[in-house]
Amino acid sequence: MAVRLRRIVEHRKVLWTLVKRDLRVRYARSVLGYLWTLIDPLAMALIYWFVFGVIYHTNSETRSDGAPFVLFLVAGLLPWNWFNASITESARALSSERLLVRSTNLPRELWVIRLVIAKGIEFLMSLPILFAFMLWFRYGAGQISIHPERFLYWIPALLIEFVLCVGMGFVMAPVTALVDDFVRLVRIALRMLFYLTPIVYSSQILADRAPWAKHIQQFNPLTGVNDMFRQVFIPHQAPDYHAWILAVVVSCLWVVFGMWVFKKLEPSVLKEI
Amino acid sequence: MSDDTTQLGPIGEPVMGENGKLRWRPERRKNDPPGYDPEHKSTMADYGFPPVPSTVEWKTDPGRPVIEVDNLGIEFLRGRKRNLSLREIIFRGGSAHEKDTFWALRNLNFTVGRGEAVGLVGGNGGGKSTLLKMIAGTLLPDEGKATVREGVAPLIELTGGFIGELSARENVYLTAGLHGMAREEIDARFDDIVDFAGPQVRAGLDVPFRHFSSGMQVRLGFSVITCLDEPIILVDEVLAVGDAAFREKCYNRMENLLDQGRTLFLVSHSSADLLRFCTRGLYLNGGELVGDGPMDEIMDRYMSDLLGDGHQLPTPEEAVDRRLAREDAQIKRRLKREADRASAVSG
Repeated sequence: MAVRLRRIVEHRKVLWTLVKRDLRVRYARSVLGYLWTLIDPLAMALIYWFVFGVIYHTNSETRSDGAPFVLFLVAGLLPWNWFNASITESARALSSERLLVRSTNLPRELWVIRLVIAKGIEFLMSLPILFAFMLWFRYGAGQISIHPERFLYWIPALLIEFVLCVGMGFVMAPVTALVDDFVRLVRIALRMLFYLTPIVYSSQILADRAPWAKHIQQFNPLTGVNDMFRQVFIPHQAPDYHAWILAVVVSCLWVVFGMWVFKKLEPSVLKEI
Repeated sequence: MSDDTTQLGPIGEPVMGENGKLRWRPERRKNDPPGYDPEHKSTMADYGFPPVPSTVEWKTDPGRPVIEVDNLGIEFLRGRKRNLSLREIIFRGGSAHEKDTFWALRNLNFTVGRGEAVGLVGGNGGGKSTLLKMIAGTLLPDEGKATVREGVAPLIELTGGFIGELSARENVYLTAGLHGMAREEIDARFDDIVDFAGPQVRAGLDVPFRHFSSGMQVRLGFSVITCLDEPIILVDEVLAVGDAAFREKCYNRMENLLDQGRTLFLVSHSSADLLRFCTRGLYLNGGELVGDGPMDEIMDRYMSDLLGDGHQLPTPEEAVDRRLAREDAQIKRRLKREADRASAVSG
């Protein structure tokens, strides 16, 4: 495993080339290019806001940890989008680039990592949405206060989510190349995971209403990640350190497991594609 | 002077062979390259060509094999698509139940040294491309190993790295970058790459790549990969790309790379190509290495295996004549390249 890691590090230049290539392809064709990166999560936020903020409106403070619901929602939705896109697209990471995979002797892990990074950059570029909402609720509506020093929490949050996506991608990419219907299974799992992640509700409210589910949720690394992102504006909720630690541990386990699966399946995948 | 020519007597006089046919003799033509001297010299060694300077950096010492194949084997499933259960593939190491597989290659052992030009022959399904991919590192062996100690320029799936939406310029940078070239190197060689691909490609550098004709796409692909400064060149049936003029240009470039002492590994069904470039032949049959020797002998063996009675082996005299004729053509081409290089240096 150390050998494989070293080879990946040795090829970091190629990695950037691949990332740039991905982003260029993504933005080459449409004039609206960058706008799509903003419109997409905004549209999703609108839907969830309508369903959960308007239709199922409850006045409980705990449902969004005391922050305005829309802000709470967006701060959870953007990282989720990164995660979701990384996992679903890494399913095709090897097969969609099969010509290149077959003609270049790069560490095959790069095809997954490059995708997670590219999606991560798109995530960073969608962050202005979050900033805009924060500024609005701070200076326009005056409902929140912002703790600038807590932006530091975003660094571990980004790292953990990156590690998690890479680890799960390492499993997704080879398995889907070998087993056709694995993608369907994953799609269902992702949909369930969306509601097991505190995006449209807070983990506090889950603890009140379904304590057993809260225990499961703690093992979802995105629980910790979302909590880190939200610390910047959440008024009086103590950081959920338990979830943070579990996020680190579970993400690292995923990477180790992912590398093992990837190594194990790589020869068969290369024969198949 | 070699023995073969001295047997034939002075140039210009026809010599009769044992079967009553005239034997091959070198002859002078109008457009012979400068320095061609069949009266006094008949082999490459006679001409004593100087080593051609190159920018290749070798990591191994001279004399050490650059490719070492040790008991190599790879197993494929017979059915194209399979019904896999997750449990089975992840824990395959532990479970040993019967599967419908076959060995595409097995028990392969050979080494290739610096500057060798190796041709791989064998019928369809003989495992030629599979072997090439394992040397390129894009297939992993199930048994044994293939050690490649130098960088590889794979002329396999030439246009695989190109993206239709991006411009040709961007594609050149991307593909060269993927094969490990640094940005500055690409900058320095960009003009060479595009010039080689031809004026039509240069004219369309900034249009999306998918507007290129397929011929132009392959030309650019060939151009990029052969500009990589790698010591080992792997070729899978893609030597003959483009029209006749470009094909000749490709051949010329390949020979230039060989002049520089690079190692070539060529898979082809064209005996003309194999005999033109390769000195050593490897013969794969049914996944096993059944022959390893001089290219023309291996070629004859392969052809007679393949065609049976349909292939008539050359008589010893004919074999000698063909070898001489080939070498003579090689000498002429080399002289031509030497002249080109000299004029390139003098500007």
